[in-house]
Amino acid sequence: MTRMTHSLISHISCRAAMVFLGALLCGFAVTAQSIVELQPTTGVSVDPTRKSPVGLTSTTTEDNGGLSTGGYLVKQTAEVGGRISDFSGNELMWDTLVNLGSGVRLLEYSLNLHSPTHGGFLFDDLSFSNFGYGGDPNDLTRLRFSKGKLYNFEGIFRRDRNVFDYNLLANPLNPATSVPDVPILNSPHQLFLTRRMSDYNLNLFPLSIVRFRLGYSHNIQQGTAFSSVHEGTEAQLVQPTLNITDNYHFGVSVRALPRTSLNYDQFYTFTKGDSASTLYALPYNLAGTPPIPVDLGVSFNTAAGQPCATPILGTGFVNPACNAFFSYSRSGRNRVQFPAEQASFQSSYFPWMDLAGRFSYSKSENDLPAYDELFSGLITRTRQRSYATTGSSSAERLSVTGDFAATIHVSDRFRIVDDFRYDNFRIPGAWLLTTNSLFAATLLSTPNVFSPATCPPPFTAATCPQHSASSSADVLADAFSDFLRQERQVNTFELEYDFTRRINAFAGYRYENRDITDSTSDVQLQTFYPTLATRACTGQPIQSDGSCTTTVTSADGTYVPIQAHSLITGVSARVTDTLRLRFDTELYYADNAFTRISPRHLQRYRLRTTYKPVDWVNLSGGISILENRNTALDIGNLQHNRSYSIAAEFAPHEGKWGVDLSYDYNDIFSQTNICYVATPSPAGALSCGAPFLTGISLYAEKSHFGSGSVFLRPMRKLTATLGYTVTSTDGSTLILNPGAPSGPLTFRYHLPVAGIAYEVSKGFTFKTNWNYYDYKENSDVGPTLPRNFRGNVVTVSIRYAL
Amino acid sequence: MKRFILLPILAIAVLLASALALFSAEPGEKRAAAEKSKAGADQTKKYARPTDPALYVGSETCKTCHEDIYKNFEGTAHFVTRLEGKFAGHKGPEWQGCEACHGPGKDHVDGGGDKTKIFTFKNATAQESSARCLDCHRNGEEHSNFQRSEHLKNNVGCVDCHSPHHAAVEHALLKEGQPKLCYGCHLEVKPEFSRPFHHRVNEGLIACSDCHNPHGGFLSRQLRSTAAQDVVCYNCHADKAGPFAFEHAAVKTEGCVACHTPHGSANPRLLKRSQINLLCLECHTLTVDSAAPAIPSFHNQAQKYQACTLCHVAVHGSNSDQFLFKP
Repeated sequence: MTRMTHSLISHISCRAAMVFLGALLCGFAVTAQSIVELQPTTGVSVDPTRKSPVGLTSTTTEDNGGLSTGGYLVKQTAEVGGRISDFSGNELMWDTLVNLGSGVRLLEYSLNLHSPTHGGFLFDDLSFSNFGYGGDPNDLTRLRFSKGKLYNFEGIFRRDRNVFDYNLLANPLNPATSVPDVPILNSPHQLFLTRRMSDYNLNLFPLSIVRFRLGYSHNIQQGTAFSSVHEGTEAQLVQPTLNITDNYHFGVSVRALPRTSLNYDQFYTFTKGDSASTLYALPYNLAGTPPIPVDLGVSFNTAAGQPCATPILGTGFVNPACNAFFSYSRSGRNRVQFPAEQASFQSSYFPWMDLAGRFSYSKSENDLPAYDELFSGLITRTRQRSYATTGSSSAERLSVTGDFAATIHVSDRFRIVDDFRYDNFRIPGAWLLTTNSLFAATLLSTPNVFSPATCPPPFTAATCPQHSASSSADVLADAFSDFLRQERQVNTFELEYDFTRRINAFAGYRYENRDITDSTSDVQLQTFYPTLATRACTGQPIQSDGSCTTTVTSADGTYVPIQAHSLITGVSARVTDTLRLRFDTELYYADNAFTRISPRHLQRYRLRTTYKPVDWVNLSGGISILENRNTALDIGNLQHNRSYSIAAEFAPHEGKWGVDLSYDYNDIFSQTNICYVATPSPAGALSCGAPFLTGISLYAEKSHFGSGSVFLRPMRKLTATLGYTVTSTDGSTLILNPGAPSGPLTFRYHLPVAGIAYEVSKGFTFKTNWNYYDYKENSDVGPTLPRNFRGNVVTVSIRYAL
Repeated sequence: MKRFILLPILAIAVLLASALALFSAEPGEKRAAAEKSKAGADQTKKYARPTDPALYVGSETCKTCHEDIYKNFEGTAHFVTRLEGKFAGHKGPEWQGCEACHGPGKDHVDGGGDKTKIFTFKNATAQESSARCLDCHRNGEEHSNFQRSEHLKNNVGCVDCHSPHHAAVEHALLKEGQPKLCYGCHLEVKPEFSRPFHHRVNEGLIACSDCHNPHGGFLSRQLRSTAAQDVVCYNCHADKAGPFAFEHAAVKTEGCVACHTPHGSANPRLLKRSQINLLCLECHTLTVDSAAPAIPSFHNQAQKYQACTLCHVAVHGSNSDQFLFKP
């Protein structure tokens, strides 16, 4: 499929068609009739402390019986209004976590058309809804329509404005003792991205013996991202981002036999990555006429020689012998194709057995045909003043998976279940690059291009390239290949028994076998020009022009087989008609692990209970415990995640009041033996092979979560809501850099909310909501800006039920 | 030590509750069960539909007493069972209208509305009630694994989440919208989505069912997958899917959850650790049996090297650098 066709399809503006259709259908302006029942919700109930103006959906004061017109029962609601927001503190943290600004909003809109006789021309039922338009960071549009046995269609468009700037992320934590002192106030990896996701699915003849499925998804991630690159020092890059993924789907199902369905699905995914990177800023100057802009990077720790011991001279200009960037650019448009085929079946042809199976094959290809990278500056370690890299890369992912499951109903009470999965993927990758480098001693030195004419024997002239003993090859041709493979088989065998109508249990055994292979090979043809042509060309002859060429090969491989066994059990009891208990556990053992933090032993326990003493009271509780271990030599990994929760909901049928309460205590812990380098070394650290020191990577996080909301309806036309959510976390972790604060490990996040809804007249409800956001870290700030913020968002709206 | 005390206590508590259930069934309940069995109303897990047309009265008859429920039923997708013609290859009164789910109604009508002569979902077990639903809804990948699902295995049946007659949410006839419906049992998940860095579930942008199939599947935690049978995360985060010329192997073998907590985290980028260098060091450290290469000796953690991703930018994989310096 050509690129233009892709663009055409993408830009047919399915989203615009949905909006247009919605606008057209909005023309069916109707008036509400007598109040009968509440408007059905749109499919998503949201926490009022996060999505502000709605409140508990069950408390809306409007009732909308709809209007019959054109053979349809039409119900329509719209909520328009505006937000007024103000905040204090860290603006980018506000944008990262909340991002609600002031302005007019189409807060919500919904339209439902239903044909009571199911005799509609194009459709029997149509539902259109959206929220968040006008400036909220998240908005969604959903359209569904269907006609009986002919088809059903669902389309959804979602947009997420993602601002990210948590300033400790990727922060070099420059110490104040550096000269100059350059604190990094924002994360070098900020994001200002918008993700637009459209998904459309059409099912034809959904109730027939032969059924068809068509689907299309369009996912765009666009905006500006900041990144960094390490070349002597770390410079910040700006990265205009455009990643587009299109997914096409076709499927057919056939009921070949009674209670048996055979299915075939074809998928095709195409991803385009069109991001390029350039140097973000040149904030310093090198001496010259006029001064020469240069970037010293974001890392300033002059005591450690970063970017160098004296980056700024007494003249105020940059030290020309320092790591720095004049310019940097990088581009490479990669294209990834994912065709995938899937055949599956389900059968209950035999009353005593349910079968399901699926086989899938896909071969994806990633091509980056033209990679270009240009650097100009100085890398003091190698004396590189510039380099140009060109090349191409490719990778494939071949995946074969097979699933088969059977449930045998031995009797009405006893079932045997077996579930087998085979999963094999392999990813070969290859990279061919050529790098040409130029060398000079300082930023102000002009690098010499090698030429036999300007660099004659004895190859020491000042017009020769000025290498140091640690200079890399002048010309590097590199062929690198990588291979990753995992083959996995898992079989789960379970017995399920219903002791009585009120209690049942299951017990089972799971066996898992994994083989992981990871290998690399590298062949480098390195050419060294004079001066110092033999600097890394040991044993090779010097050519007549003074150059030296060598081939360096390397290879590495890892093979990790893992066999794992699990015992799984569970009990479920409906103790009384009002009390339910569920308990399940998994005990896992593996003889190996691929990573140091993957468990070799695992225990999971989950207990859930619900109690409904009366219809309008719902009490529930839960305990969830996960314990992981990898106690192999040198690793000492211990982890747990324990959660204890309770919740209570009171919602009397009269709808005059309601209360919703919940509390959770979460205990997260991890420790792992590590070897690291740090100077000065922490007190008590032991050597694990100089200069490495032993330590325990400790992470402990204890979190309390409380949430409560109340609604009151003292009169039919008035509803008031009040809510509060608080998350309070304390913790500790190993901190190796003295400048690093505990940051997100100790914080409080308060989210009170209040709202009033008053039915001004039939079909018109005035609503106002107040949300407060208070994020505070109880730790020192670190060599950057405080991350705390507080903010208010008041939303005022009118809700119509037309 | 605490967990070793906790486990026996929990086990004893559950066993006690089970014993209570075994011996505490009310006399009325036992009598009702016997009568149902005697009446022939099919309570078995595999629902065998009686095919004798004489046993069926039609939905219009049901409407005479249950008018409100019928009106609600008319507005739902289940009304297609009343349409003419074959229904998924089936034909006959046993597949139509109210009696498609509640079974033949003649005895119930002749008995003056005797509740014991008709199948009611209220007192049915999860297996029994779900068997009725699955008789039509079993096909297609969305529902075909429900019989083996974690939900049904733990006695959570169709009508625990869906309400054919009293749905609060029209689409899929849910009792409650997501995520509140899921939070009702999965209490430990709600606080995770309230942490500062989280997927936008509470905001309504993402639903639990976008990543998990509540009806079960072939993968653990009832997770969905991409079309290429890769982790579900890549459905949205396609730029991380690769394949890359240089893979960060753990991402592909252990999954995104090796480093991230997908629901929500106190840490930025939903990471498991507040200090990124510790997350990296836990794998990339000198050890006798680690597949991951150790950090070099000049990576002094007390200086600038604590920000691993400042240099190793392409941690999910790279097409241009074996050390993941560049994407």
